[in-house]
Amino acid sequence: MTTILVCEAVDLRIDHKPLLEGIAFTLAAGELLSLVGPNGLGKTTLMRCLAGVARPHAGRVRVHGEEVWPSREATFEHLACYLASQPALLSDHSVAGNLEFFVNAFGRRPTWAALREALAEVGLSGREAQVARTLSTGQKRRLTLAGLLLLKPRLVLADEPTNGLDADGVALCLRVFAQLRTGHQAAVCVASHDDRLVKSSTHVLPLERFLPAARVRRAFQGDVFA
Amino acid sequence: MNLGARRWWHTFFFVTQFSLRGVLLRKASWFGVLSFAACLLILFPFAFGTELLAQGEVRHGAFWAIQEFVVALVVGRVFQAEQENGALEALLASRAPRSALLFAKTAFTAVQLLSLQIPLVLLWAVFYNVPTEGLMQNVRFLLPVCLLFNFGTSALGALLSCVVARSQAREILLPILFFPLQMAPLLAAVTLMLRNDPAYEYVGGFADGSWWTVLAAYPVVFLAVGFLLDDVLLQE
Repeated sequence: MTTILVCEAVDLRIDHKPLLEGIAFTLAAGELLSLVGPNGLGKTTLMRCLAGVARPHAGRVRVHGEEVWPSREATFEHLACYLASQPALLSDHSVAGNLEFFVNAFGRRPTWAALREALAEVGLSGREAQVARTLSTGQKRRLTLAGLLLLKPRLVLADEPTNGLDADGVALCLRVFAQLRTGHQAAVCVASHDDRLVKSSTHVLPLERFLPAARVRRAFQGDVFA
Repeated sequence: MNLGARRWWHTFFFVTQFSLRGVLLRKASWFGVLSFAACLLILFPFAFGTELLAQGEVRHGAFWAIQEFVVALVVGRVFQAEQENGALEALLASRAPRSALLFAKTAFTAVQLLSLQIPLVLLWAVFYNVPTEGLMQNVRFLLPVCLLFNFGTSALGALLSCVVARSQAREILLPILFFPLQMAPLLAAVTLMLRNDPAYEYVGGFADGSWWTVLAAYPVVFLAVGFLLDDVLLQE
């Protein structure tokens, strides 16, 4: 199977304090990897490093064989999408305008028909002209899922993708990820506490195993995550 | 055109297009800046009085002082729409070339400044009793000065906005870094306008060529710096 994402010996630090060390995993096409761990462990920081938004302290991240860190070779043709925990939107633009922005950022131009079809699939049919600022949190998240359906990325990095979604929304999220994995051989990496999402994963990676040795020692001595 | 160049130009046009759409959707902010500048244009004559207003350096100085207020408002909002709800992170995560983002924002901000300067020039000519015999000459000369001033100011402002974007103190840092560096093109613009005013005799100082060099150098230097710092711009 084609390897989409490689993470090698990545160290994360916050304010010069080690957060996680030696993170290493690979993700192949069609797989869904869940990164799990308690709050404050570093899941979001890791996701941002994998997406290229934040720089890790050390290590190497590659997407489709090209480096994201340390040398930043990877380009938007690799179609690696990052969904942050808060849906990324242009508040004053319409729903359709936001979808266009999302897809244009990757050098693609959506057709109006494809745009409407994607919105219909996520339950936002008829809201093309609605201003994004007026959407609820769940609707904003559905909008980002519509973006994935339009773009059909090869790698999805999703931080808490089910935040703000109702039961139908969570089922939709799982359906979209499954559609991308099976229909387009996408790889999906999520950071999530959602049991349904974790249970549907092909692999689960607890991030506690990458805690710095000193923190593990302190944990044994009774200072949990000090 | 190779893939890298196509990618760069695509990002440039797409960011410019969405920035323009954003301003058209948020018309209130453009009108707000124009109204604020127009209020200042009207208030300054009350402070100066008609005798002082007859002096060329006061007329031109007031015009450019008001331009500085406009610049402060516009440059401070270069990335505001994208930063508000994380759209900037989505754009960075898409691996779009960051220098194209910077160039697009510079070009758009320069044009936005020009769109505000055009009505302000008309109001300035009316409220400051600009002599009609020199007015057309002033306006013809003002266009290249404004264009170079706008591009230089926008290049500097966009670069500094990228530098401070990730800082928690960006609202304080940006003006502290921006205004001292922006003094040179401002002085160049004021001096060139004064020298060109037939009603005013400007004596002393550097030759016109030096001031034109300052105006032309700013966009070149700061865009070049942005291009060279492509890897680290907006980087966390």
